[in-house]
Amino acid sequence: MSAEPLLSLRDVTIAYGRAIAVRALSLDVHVGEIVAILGANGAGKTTTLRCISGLLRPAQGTVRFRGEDLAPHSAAEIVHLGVSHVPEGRRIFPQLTVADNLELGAYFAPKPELRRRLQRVMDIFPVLAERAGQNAGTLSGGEQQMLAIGRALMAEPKLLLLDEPSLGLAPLVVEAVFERLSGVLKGSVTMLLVEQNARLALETADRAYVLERGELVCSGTSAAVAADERVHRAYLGDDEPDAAEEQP
Amino acid sequence: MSTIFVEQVLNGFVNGCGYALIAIGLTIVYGILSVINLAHGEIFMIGAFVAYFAYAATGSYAAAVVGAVVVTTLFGLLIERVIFRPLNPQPRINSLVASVGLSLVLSNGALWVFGGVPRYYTTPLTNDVLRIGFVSFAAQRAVIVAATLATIAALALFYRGSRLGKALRAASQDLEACSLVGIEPGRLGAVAFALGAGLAGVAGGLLSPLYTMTYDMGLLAVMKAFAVVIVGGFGNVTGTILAGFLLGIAESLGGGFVSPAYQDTIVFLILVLALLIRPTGLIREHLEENI
Amino acid sequence: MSTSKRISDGGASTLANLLALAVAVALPLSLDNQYYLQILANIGINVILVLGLNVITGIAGQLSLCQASFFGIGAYACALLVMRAGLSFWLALPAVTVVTGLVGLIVGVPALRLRGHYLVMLTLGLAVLTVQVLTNWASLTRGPAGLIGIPWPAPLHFGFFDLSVATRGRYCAMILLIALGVVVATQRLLASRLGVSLLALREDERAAELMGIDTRLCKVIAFAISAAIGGLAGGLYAHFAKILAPDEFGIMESVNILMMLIIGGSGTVWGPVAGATLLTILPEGLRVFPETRLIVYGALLIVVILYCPNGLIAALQRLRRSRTGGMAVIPAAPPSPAPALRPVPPAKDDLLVVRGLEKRFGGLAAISGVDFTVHAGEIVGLIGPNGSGKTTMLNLISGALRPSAGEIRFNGTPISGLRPSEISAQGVSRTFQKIRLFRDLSVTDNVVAALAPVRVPSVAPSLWTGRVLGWDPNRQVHAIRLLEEVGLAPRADDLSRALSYGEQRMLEIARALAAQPRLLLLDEPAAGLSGADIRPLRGVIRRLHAAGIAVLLVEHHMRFLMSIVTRVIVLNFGKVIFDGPPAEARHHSAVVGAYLGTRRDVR
Repeated sequence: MSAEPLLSLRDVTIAYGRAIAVRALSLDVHVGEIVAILGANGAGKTTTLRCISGLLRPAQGTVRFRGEDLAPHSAAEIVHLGVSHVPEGRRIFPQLTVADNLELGAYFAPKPELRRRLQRVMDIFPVLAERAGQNAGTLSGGEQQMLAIGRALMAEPKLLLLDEPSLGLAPLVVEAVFERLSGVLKGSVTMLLVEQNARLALETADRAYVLERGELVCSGTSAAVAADERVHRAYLGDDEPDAAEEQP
Repeated sequence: MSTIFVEQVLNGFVNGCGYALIAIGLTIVYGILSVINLAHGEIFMIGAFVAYFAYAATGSYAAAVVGAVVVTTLFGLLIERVIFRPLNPQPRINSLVASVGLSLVLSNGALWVFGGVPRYYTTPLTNDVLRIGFVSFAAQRAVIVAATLATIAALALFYRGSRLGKALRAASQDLEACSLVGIEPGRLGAVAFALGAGLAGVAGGLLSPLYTMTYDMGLLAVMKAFAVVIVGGFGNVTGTILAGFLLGIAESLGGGFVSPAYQDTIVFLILVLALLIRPTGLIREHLEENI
Repeated sequence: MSTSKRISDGGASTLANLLALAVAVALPLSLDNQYYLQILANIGINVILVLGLNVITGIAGQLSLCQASFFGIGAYACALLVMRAGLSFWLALPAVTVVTGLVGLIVGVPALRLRGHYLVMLTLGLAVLTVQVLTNWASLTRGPAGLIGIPWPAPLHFGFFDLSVATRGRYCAMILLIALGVVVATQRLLASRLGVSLLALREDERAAELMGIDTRLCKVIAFAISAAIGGLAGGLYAHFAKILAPDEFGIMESVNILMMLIIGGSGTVWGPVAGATLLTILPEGLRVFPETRLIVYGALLIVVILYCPNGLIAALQRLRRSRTGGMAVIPAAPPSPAPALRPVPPAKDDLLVVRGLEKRFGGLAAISGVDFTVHAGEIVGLIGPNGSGKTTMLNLISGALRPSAGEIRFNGTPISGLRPSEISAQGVSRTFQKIRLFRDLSVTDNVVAALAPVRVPSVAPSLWTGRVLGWDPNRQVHAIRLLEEVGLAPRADDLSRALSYGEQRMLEIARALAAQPRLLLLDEPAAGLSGADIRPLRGVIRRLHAAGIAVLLVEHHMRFLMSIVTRVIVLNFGKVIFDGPPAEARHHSAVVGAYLGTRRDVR
């Protein structure tokens, strides 16, 4: 691992109006890693990713990518800096073909370059080559997820943000998707993965951060986090009431 | 009798060309930005006036149309930047109200600058007559139809084949996702406005030899364009084109066979009925949402 | 296009009203100059017109561009009734007011099913059609030549006293008096049940519907009122102007009225008055440049929308914004013996029964066969991973969505397929995952809106007794009591959007309680709350439980949820995978698997 992290968040606080969604979060992602952010729904995972990709602005703190502060950049500019975001719910363009969706992922690339990237993505996800001429809206959930990841890969990002790729997908399909992530893609692109499915995420990632209601509760290598009972508590609570919240 | 019928249909088709072109512009802007620009008719009017003066200066119909398109396209870029982009964070209805103000400024500005006297001009084509079978058809009108079909074909090619066209289609499906793939949504909005205004300019330039031009022609034009868009479906370009021609023909037949005085009324009646019966247009469905 | 809205107050505006009364009578009677009288009369007519538009566009929030049509219909109808049918002006004027209102009612019923820009287009179409009809029905209206020679009204006989308005001065005074009457009526409207319902639906139509307000009915009534007031203005105008032409009542005039409303400040009482006055006087000042008048108008409209979309009155208000004020003076309420939480006793123990419920969005099945029961007085937790269907479930129960299959029974009555306001009337109330308060209303008004919502079963008798339009101080008191329950009484007069996040969540609960529910659906009430805010939330839910109100609680904050529920239902992929005590849920293998995921190599 190189000394300088590829992505670093320092004391980032993100709010929706008056509601604080993420509080003073610090995390690092180094080149070549797969890092997971875990936590129950509402923990702030998606909010964190949207802040990194520029769709949200932090109320406090800094987000640095390759040393550069991302705050002055728009979301589209951040893509050109090398960060691609596969959003929750996939957000592919349903009335464009698979090929068109992928093309838009490399919108500014010259034609020969575009073709090279297209070929590469279709090698990773052969089903996209099969369905190249179909409208994206007619694809199954798993295929759309692969399309969304493929589209993000067309930009040849240095950092790939994945928001709940398993959401709404059947277990076997989730298998297939995660196969790619920990197989072909690992090592060629750094990934920051948000997942509600903690076990799957911990099997895929090198390191993990666990959020609970906007705050970091534990972090470390996947093995360490998997063994930590705080993960279980973060999702399902425990029998001990929180002293601060219990009525006197 | 049937000759008159065919001629009515053909005339209606020619009018429909204008309606279709103007309406496409409206629907493109709406589809991407969810903005209804009631000043769109005034852009059509500007196109017509520019064509008039360009023809007076150059004597060339082609120059007149090109001039109209150039001016209206630039104008579309201007109003997007100055009025509609700053209104982005406000509720959509405010953009509509602002466009009402813009419409007032433009139509009365035209009155002030050009005066209230209607203008018109004719090209040599107006007096040429084509004969197809038993039907006679002014050459001018044939040119308009041909040019419109060519424009629509070019638009279709652009939308399906070019990257910018695909980006525009993507923007009307999911504007935020465009920024996720690295395309600035603001720039797409500007393109949409420019394109819409340009199409209105084509309509204004092409149809200018057919009608007298007045400063308030924009109002009627935009109202009819809205009837077209509503029947065809907001944001649905294909439906809008079809509806444009349909409405042109319906209006012409109604005027010919019912009563000329009520010709304009027919379009508005269709508008009102369409809104009451099926406001989302011929094709789209209403989607439920979780709250 | 909204400004801060408070219910009209008792104190200050009575003084203003009296002043205005004095001016309205004294000024025109003392003026000799015919020109000034003309302007004054036009101001009065425009004030009435704009106040009329204010009801549907400013207060109810539905943009209408056909106000001039009602103006025209009223003008022509009144003139024709007097001139052709020989009716007395004093009968014709109220008659056209009612008739135009009925026209608005008839048009409004189909029209107000539309929302936003569709409705605007419809009103534009109607505006054009009206002018077409007025122009082309020459046998009745004399077409483009117009009606001429409309007479002064005949004097009204009161025993031995004759009231004559046959001079400009007197007629003008009458116009201004009626305008003042409309001002007072607007004040009353804003304070009434109907007014608060309209303001709520302007702020958030779906939330208003779910709080029990029949939004369709309210919009139609508002449209009819706007039409009636427009007709009233028309009748008054006809006999002052003495000449009518169809093109005076077209889109341009409607746009003019809209501009006065927006520039003055829509939704308030004096905003329309200010706007009407300003934009009637302004063209007189701009008479030197007649062609540029409308250019200036248009530019003014654009500038106002860009920089102060709430209008000039709101901009002024912001300069002297004060924290309190705007509420009628309520005597300090003694601690009330009756508790604020008074659930209606349920008839059945199986309070909510869900059987075979399914919901599909296109091809996606969000809920695929769910059965469960909530008993009277229970607190049931509904949990599940992201995308499992929890919010969809609440939306189905409250009526925000319709099921694709299956049924939901509440207190024995089938409720699936009913409108949300009807379901609310049955006794189901809710809060929202993302807060949906009526942001521009005060804290108290948010609760008042839900206390006595305007809906069909109750509106007919209330209209008769005038209670829909009446002011009921008991509502205020009841609202304050509910606010006390959630600890928000000190913030009663503040704008709801000024509250902290935790306070806003509490306000949503107080608002939901206003409907006196038997079952309360809470959608992630603890989301985003800090520890200090969760304690009072727990207290409130426990008090609800003690009062006998059943609660169905969706939550991700497991510790919080497990500490207050008696039963947990777990959803995954739209199906129930567990239904039982909370302690068991936490360790149940299917539940743990749903949340934490299954190992890849375990099949």
